[in-house]
Amino acid sequence: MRLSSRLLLAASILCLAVVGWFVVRDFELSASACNHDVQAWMRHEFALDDAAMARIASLQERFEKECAEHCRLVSEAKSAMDAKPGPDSRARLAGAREQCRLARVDHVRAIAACMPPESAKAYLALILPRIDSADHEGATDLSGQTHSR
Amino acid sequence: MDDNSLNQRLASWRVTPTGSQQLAGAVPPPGRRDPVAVWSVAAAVALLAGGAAGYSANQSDRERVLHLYVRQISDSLPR
Repeated sequence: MRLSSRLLLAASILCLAVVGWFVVRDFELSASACNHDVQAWMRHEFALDDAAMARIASLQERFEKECAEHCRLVSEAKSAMDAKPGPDSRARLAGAREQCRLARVDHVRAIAACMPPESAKAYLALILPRIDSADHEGATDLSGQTHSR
Repeated sequence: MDDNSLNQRLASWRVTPTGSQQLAGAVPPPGRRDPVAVWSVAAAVALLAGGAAGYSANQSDRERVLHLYVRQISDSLPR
């Protein structure tokens, strides 16, 4: 085989690799990640329409208010424990944290209820373990671990 | 024995390519790989490698957005 033919074949093979990459690559997902656009990702990943997105936005808004109240209770319980450590204050703090965790789980389930069944299943499988592990020490990192900030 | 019958008998004995076939390039000589097969495998591997790289990039992007989303839900938590 001549050198030019070999070079041509090698270039074609390189092109095939690029074609494989383009076929598999999800450019909407890539744009969402680059723009830090969580809503666009949710819409694309879970095939959500405008109505579902509007319901989810409203749930998120309500949750933020509810969460602020839970977080206030946790902060108070933490302060009480710092001031006077003991079984009562520890139980109060644990109760406040548990209430906050349950609220997060409820919120995630309420969002899943706005989705088509298959999307809801995928959403819960993806989010619930991470939400559960996100405690009051900070948000989870890419591996699902929690770190203090 | 004429040429035709001799060739038929030879063909029935031989399982390796004849010299004329090798010269014509139809069949690679013993010990050398068929270039068409080699390039086909290379093309398939390149296609798969490209696909795998695309898939890996998708997973990485998904993790990044997922991380942001989880932070959005848990960021208002007290530290």
